[in-house]
Amino acid sequence: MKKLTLAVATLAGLAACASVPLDTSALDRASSAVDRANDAGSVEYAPLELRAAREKLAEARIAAEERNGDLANRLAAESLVSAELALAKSDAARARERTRAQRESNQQLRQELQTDSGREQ
Amino acid sequence: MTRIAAICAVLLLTACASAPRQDLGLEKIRADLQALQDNEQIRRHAGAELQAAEAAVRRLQAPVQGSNKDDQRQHLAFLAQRRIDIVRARANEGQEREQLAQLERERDRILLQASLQEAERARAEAERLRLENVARAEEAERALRDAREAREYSEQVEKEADLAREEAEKARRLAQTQAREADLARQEAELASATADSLRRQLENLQAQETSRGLMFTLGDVLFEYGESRLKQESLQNLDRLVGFLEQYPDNTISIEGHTDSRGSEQFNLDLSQARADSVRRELINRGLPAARLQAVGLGEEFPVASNDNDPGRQQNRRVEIIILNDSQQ
Repeated sequence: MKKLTLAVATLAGLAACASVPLDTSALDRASSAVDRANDAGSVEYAPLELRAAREKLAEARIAAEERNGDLANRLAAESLVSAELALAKSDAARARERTRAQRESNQQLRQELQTDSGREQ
Repeated sequence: MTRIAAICAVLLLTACASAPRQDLGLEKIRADLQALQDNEQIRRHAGAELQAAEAAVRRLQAPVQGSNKDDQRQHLAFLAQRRIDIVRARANEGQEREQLAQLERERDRILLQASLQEAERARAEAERLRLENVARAEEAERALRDAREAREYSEQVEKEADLAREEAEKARRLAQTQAREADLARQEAELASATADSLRRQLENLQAQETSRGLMFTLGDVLFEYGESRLKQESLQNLDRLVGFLEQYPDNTISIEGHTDSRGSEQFNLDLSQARADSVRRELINRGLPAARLQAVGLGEEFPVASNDNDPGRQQNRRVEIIILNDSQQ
């Protein structure tokens, strides 16, 4: 009976200590988002957003170490959206590159075709 | 009093102005969101991201509780701003992908056109080859036709040459025939003249004479063997001519009369002359003259034609006279 009372008291104390509880899954989600952005070439296509995502993730981890749940959660969420933005911008940039490459390829094909038809006549 | 009112108004205005300034970020975010919501393309390309942005803006607008409200509002504004940026980036990516898809379709069209063009070129090449073959075949046909015409022409020429040769041959034969006919005519003419000559000679040889009794021939003494009534072999040929001549007078009676010279007895000479006249008559009958037309008589030495004093006269007297009697004498 005494033991149970002590445990409840400890939990209550912990809860009181951290005004907002730490969401560790938010840190994980931000971390994997940063990894995805990195894999998508954000170092090249969205370096500012990627750096922001990394810095905020690092700060979030520090805040989590310091048991500042509220700050850690906010920084994790900000890191997540920054990483997602980096990923989206990288995706868009790569799509743009592929489009440009295709446009050039088409142009070349058209020229070859015209040369062919010119040779034919 | 008015001054106090003016101050109050300024304070009031200041208070009014200060409140919206804090909301400038929110206003911009709302306007951006509205622009995104109004854009059909963005809704199509980044629907899920737009919903996330809308949620973020809703949280930003919701009343904030807790101790550090400013930090919280700044945090929510950051999130909303990033969500809006994400919408833009994804929409941009969607547009790029759409363009890429269009370019890929265009590439397919170009390749299709290229393959069609290639097929057309191949077809044109095939057509060109076909025409070339047709032209070659026509040329071969023409050459064949030329050869055939040349052969036909040469055959024609040969045929004409043959014809000319045949005509020449015909002309040659005609000339030969004409020459032969001329020859024949000449021969006939010669023959005719020979016949005429022969008749004349016969007349001469037979010593034909026109007399009052008729045409008279004298067969000379030399025609007979001496003292015989038999005709000499060579005299028979003379008789042939005589027969030929006599046959030309088929209706006249022919009198055969024998004569002698004065030597020997009268009776002997009568018998001899009769025998000789009979011998001639017999010979003429043998050669086909009708016996009824022939009368033979021996006249002896009574009718000399020359002197009996010398040999030439006596020889002339030894004779047989053959007379084609005139119609009046028969």
